[in-house]
Amino acid sequence: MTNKSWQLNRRTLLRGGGAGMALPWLEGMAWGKTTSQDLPKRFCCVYFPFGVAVPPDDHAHRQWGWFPTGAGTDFELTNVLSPLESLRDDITVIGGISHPNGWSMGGHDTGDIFLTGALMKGGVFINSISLDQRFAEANGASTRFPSLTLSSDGGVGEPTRSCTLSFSREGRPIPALSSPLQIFNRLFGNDTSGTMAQQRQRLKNESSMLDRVLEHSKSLNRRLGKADQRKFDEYLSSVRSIEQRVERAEAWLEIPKPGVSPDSVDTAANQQGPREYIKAIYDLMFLAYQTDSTRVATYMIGQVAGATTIANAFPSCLGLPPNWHGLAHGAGKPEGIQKLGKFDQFLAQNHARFLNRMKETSEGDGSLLDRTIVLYGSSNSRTHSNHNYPLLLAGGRGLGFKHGQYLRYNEREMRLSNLYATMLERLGIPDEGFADSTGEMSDVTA
Amino acid sequence: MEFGARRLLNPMKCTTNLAFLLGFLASSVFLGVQAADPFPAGPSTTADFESAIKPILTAHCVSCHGAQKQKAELRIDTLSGTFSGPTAETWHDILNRVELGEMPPEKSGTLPTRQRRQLVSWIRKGIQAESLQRKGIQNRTVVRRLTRYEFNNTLRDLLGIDLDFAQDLPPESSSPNGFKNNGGTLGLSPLQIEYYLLAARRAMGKAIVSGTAPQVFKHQFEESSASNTPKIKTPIGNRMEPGGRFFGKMLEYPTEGEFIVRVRAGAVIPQGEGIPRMQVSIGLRSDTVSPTRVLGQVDVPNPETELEVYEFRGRIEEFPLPGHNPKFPGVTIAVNNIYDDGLPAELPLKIDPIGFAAAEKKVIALAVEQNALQVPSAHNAAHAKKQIRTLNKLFVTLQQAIEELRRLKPNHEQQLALASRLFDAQSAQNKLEGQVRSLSKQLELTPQAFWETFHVDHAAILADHQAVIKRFASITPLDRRDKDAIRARLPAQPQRTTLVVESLEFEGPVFDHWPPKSHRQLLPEVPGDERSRADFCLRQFMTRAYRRPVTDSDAQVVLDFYDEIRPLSDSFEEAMRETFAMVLVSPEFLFQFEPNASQEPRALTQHELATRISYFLWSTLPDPSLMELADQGKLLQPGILEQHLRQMLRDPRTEQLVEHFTDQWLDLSGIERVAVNPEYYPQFDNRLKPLMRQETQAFFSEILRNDLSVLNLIDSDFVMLNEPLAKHYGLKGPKGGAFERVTIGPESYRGGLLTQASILLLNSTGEDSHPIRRAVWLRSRLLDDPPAPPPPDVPELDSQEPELVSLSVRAQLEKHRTKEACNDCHRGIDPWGIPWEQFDAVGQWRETAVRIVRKRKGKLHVPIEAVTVLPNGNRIEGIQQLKRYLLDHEERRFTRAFTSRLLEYSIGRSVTLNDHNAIESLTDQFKDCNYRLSDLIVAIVNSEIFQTK
Repeated sequence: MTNKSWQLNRRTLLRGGGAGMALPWLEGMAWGKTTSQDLPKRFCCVYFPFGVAVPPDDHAHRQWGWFPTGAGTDFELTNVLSPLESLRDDITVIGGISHPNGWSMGGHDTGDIFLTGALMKGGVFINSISLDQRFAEANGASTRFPSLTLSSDGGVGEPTRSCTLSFSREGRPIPALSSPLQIFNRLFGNDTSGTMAQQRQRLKNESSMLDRVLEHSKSLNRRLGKADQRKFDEYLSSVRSIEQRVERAEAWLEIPKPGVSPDSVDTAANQQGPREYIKAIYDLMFLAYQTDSTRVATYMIGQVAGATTIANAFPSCLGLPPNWHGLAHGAGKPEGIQKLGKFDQFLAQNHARFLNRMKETSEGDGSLLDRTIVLYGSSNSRTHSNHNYPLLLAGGRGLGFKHGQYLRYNEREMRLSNLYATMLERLGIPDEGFADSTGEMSDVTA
Repeated sequence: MEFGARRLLNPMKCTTNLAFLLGFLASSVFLGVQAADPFPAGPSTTADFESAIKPILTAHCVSCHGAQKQKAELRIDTLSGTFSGPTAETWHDILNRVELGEMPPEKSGTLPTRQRRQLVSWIRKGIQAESLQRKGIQNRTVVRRLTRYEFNNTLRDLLGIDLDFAQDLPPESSSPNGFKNNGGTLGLSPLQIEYYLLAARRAMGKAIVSGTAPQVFKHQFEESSASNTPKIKTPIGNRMEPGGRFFGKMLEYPTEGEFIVRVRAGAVIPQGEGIPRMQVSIGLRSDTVSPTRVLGQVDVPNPETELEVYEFRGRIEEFPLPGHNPKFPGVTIAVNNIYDDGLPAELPLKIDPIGFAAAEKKVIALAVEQNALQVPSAHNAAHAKKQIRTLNKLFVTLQQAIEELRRLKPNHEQQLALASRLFDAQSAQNKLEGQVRSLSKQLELTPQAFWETFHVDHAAILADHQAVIKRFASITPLDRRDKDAIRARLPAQPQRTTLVVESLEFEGPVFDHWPPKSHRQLLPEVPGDERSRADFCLRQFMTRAYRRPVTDSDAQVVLDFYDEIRPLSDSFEEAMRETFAMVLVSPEFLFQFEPNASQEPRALTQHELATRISYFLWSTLPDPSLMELADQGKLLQPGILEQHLRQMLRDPRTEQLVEHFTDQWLDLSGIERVAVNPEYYPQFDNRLKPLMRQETQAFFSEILRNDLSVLNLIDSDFVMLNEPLAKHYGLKGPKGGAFERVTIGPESYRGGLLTQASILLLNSTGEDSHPIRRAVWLRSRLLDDPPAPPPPDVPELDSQEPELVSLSVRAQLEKHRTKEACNDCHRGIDPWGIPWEQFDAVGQWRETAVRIVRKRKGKLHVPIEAVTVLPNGNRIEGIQQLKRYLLDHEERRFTRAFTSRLLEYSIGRSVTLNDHNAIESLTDQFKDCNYRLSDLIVAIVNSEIFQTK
């Protein structure tokens, strides 16, 4: 923990304001440092499955297509992205790019690689580190939680049908949390009991306990056959990394969790009520950023298997039956364009609400949004087509991003990993590119 | 990891685990025609391939699976005669298709029998040889951690505390066949370790207490507390008709520990009415909007003159409790009569009939344009328009009447509504016929041509209406304007079934002594100093947690930790909590640990075997009696194992096997993923969904407990019903919420799994049936023969397409199959789903299928066609013939598939080709004992596969 100054500042701030009480966050102020030097850098990614409607420009229902009309700075948002109109100068819509590795993968299979760019085919389901985790590796130590991984389905799912966007350096899926109540408790709940000394003792115990368990497990591992050892390695590496978490928790022990009132989020929301649920998840991400509990969050609204994702039923709860997968398949037809477009508009409304809250929250000379790169999109354009991803980039002005444009590329000349490399560079990890990047995407930076 | 079975025929997604795939398909390998072997000498050779096999493939296969075309993503011309690597999968798949007679298709010319045998025999031998070579490598259970539910059950039994310990653990992934307990797919991540530790500490915090006994809160309510949400209009009080409530609001309450709620209650059950069902829930407020959690439900059959006490237990911390400074202080216990008579709450509901009015002008114009309507003059056109408007009104009236009739049931409350709607329907129908006759005469059309002009399938609608009206033949229609007749037939306001609550009691926390039992069991008082007590308690705990005797070195690892932290802990109890928590995050607790570093399989130890058995049947750690047998080394003595297994199967804990195996094997949780569209099913109550799942489980349980044949899963002469489901099916059934066995006659079509609402709903769209999903489910889950996955970017059938909208689903699928690319796979899929067409999405019998036509804002009734021809030429009409066919022709495939899936669940790994012989032999044994489930379970546990690692 090299950079503690801002934490001390915040602690003072919290004590001054009455630590443990619900702070008046509605006033719209980030809880991190308030001077412009060393302000946090943040990343956020929200993914939706099944793709969007992509009617040709002369189509009667073009207004329900996802992509804007026009190009460059001279573009018009369609009905679908119209909720973002007031944020026009904070967003960039990007079309025409994708992960080339996804081209030869199944139409349902690319959710796994949206943030990794890996090639998963030929029976080899080995993923690589995701963009958010690469950033968290470098930057996660400054917050209580290195990253926050969320999805409507929760858990990890199955390879090619993963229920998470985030993958570790070993390419292992990181389980996503899905329950608003559980997420709230993790971020803001104070279930630790006992005095500070007792809590510290428990952390010390934990460290010693896990150390011993790990040592013992290594000796057990030697008694296992090859196949068992491969499996058991998941346990060993998990315990190893949880040890690091304990060290981190010790460092954070004296800093109380931010006092956020449970009333700020609808923690009772669940997936049966998608309006409330999606809003609650966005609210939790917002609060996590505002309180500087983490600087990295991902949310997978649904995974790309109609038969297994809970999100498949989301549209029907809004009066757009029968299901999301079906809607997406119907988007090749005139009536279908409008139906899918309406649902995508609903998603855009939620996203716009989140961006607006981020923008209305001041931090330093700018807003929370200015120092947060927010990526929103899907790995399908038309359903099951792994090309021309619908992508919306927002925020990050304070990190050198420029907006108010609609960029269209030729997929042979520009790839998504180049955008990721650019993001990493602006997030403070220059010169290493990302996955299969061939360069950067300079059009998005000022 | 083991993936791939679903991805056959799709080399892009082929598996990394050959043996798994081979095993998966082994079912079909050895079921082929047993004929003279064309290659008697030795294994398949490359020479044979060049001389005999390649010419066959070139002649019959390569035109579709060659350099030009690769149908189903399969290319055959590049295969050499070897089986190494992934090619074995390809060969296996080819074998499968050829044996099923699906390939080559008729149009490529029949494959002469001799050549077919040659091909089949050659591939079969090649696969066998390959499998032998790999034997012992891939067919062993991989070290497997406890699933969420196993973790929860194990902690509960270990500590004697019933809490949801797994609440924060992420959901499990599924194996290719849907199993959650598959070692290969059960992953681990840092987040899980974090929550395991949290759960362990939380559990120890509950099990081992500190300090003096806590304050006990007791409340008794003889009158209901007031509702704090006046918006809710349901009556409150001691006498509750369905929907009625009784509240007990506590301002002082415990925040931790077990509590008891006792309700002294009885019932008033009028003739013909059901048994009231009491639900008790606890939450912040009395309304349903604020957080609340159900404590329990029970039928209350005893009359109010003989009140009885109903007792519910829970842990208060699992219920929503107010935070600091709550807006609504206190905790409310709500008692509610949730009896559901299966009838819709409100009538009539909104109906969108098909009308002419909206499209009237368009229709006329269209008719003129197409010269179907001969309208010579403006005057006549105006006249025709007017008449069409009248027609429209009549048609709307008729449909409304029919729709309402559809929803009404012939019981006394609705007799009146029924009679009057019947009158409306009949008179509207008569008038409509008259109008159409006169109008079509005027336009010189036959009535049939007239209807066709409007794109309305009149015949189907008429047939449907008549079928509905016919159901009520015994009821005299009644004109609603005839007040006297109505008064004469008005039934007396009937009394509804009533729950009577005399008093409601709360007591908590409850404990027999202080410290409570869990504490005394974990930390017994033993002679000696504290250190030796710690040693004793720890060994006792570890023996149970690790499910085996504990060695000194095992204990030492944990004791070292105790010795380190004891001086730093406030108390002995605190140190022991942490020490036990360490045991609970150790791999020997979290995993079924069966170390074997050798290449050769070894027999399980007695304790490993006991553990496998216990997790197979009870999803938890072995109980003391099983542990004792293992301790004494008696488990494998003749007769003892079987005797003990049968004893375990009689124990209620075997419901764990029923619940988890049926859930995973049949995909019952899929019910939750299907949203039922209320436009199509205005009557459908989502509370039926969990009951559907319970029905299937009760059915399976009935078969298990009564030693019935599992062929009952295909068809049976009984069903398991409770009142709401019986009403849903329109069957006579028990009163009340408990499931009971109901015998059905040969005329009934509800026997077996296929016609249970759970299966029908989960394989539907929530609007209509989905024959393809039903077919895929049947082939994968019941026959272990999953079809290839659809190619990318295949459109779903859109029933709204104009040329499809009025067609039956069968006709739609036929159209779909005219595309050759679709037909290749779907001729082997669709026929298995068509015979279920007489059942709608929610599992009810139907005469016609409803389709809501969005463009016309109306409902359309399309005919049902449940006749199909299987790929092998068998004609099947309707669900009963399908069941018959399965019993007559697919008994072996079904029972083998069942054996294979149960084996897979029992050992927690996917089965492989190397398990082939074992599965065949188990299936034989299964058959020999008339497919009694308990015998199969005994046979599985006795098998080498189960007893080796």
